[in-house]
Amino acid sequence: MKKTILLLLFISSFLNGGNIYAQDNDQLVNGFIKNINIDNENINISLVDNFGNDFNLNITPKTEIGIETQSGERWVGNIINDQNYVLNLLEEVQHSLEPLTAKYAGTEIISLVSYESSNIKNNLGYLAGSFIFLAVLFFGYLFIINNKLKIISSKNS
Amino acid sequence: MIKSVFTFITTVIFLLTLWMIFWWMPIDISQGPVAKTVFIHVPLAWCSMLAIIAVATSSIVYLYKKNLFWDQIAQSTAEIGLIFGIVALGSGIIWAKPIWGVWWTGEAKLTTTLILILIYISYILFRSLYKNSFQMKKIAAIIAVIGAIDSPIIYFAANLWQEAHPVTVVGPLADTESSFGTDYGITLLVSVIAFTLLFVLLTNLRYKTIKLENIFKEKIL
Repeated sequence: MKKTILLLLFISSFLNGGNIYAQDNDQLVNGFIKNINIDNENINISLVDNFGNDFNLNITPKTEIGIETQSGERWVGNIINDQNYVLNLLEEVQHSLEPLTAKYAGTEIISLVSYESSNIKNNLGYLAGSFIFLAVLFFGYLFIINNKLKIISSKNS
Repeated sequence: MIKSVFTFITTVIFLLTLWMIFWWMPIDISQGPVAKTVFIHVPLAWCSMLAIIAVATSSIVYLYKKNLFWDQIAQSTAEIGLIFGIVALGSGIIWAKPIWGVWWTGEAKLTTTLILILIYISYILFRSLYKNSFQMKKIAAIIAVIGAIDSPIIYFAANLWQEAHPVTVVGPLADTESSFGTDYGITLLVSVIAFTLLFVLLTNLRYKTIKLENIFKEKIL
């Protein structure tokens, strides 16, 4: 009975549509850079998404940036590292019309990364793999222990 | 009676953990569904580290008191610790592939965890290969005590050698500005409790089996 309930819980979890959320109050936008401005130590960017909506967001010293350069390398850092370099990268991204993914709260960008083309929903199989591995090893171990007990009790009798 | 209540509580908390993982928790924005592996990977790793400390502690008590009970506790805890350690490492390997792009890297956290598993294996192999004597139990206890040194190294590894494995985000070493969400924290806590209860339950089961085996062997002799 317990095994059946666990199995049902596990299977039905895959039927649960599975919307993708940011944690807590974070929001997410994929879009192109329309405009870039410098405001003191922050960089203001205007992102436009696929439906033409504008998002005016700030890159602060806390913003984590991960952008692929023209040479294919990924630059990871923030504007404290080198504000001018970040600015150059963003201009490069704007001119080459590369899409970016921004995770933000209010108007502050938490992370700004080159758009991930891979579908993150695809890794569901790996999660299933972990749980199957866990189940196989635990139930396998219980089976071995149970067998040992059976052998001892049969020899005892 | 106590065992039945304990089993019931463990089952309820386990079902609650599964509900929280698959229904209550949203899918992580950056890693996708595979991020939920954290709810089995971290509790299992915690239990395997707890196990080696328990093995070492009961081994020390055995060396001091010479009471067979402590040796059997050490033996049963080592076996369950090995199972938990293998699943923790296995789930980490499965998680690493879609996120890091590789199954395995030779970085500190992974290597020290592999060493822990090898310590468990050597402890169990030593016990099974040598004649059941006080001398064997004494050497096994010493192996366990030396092996326990690996536990704090694993815990601090990600912070000491910052490589691919993320640094500690919960516990005393955690950064107060960690991006670990509240919902993730609660689910992880419930999951850790569930796996710890399961660990105690399995250790108790294994201890009883070992006790029965010893009684049986004594009868034969």
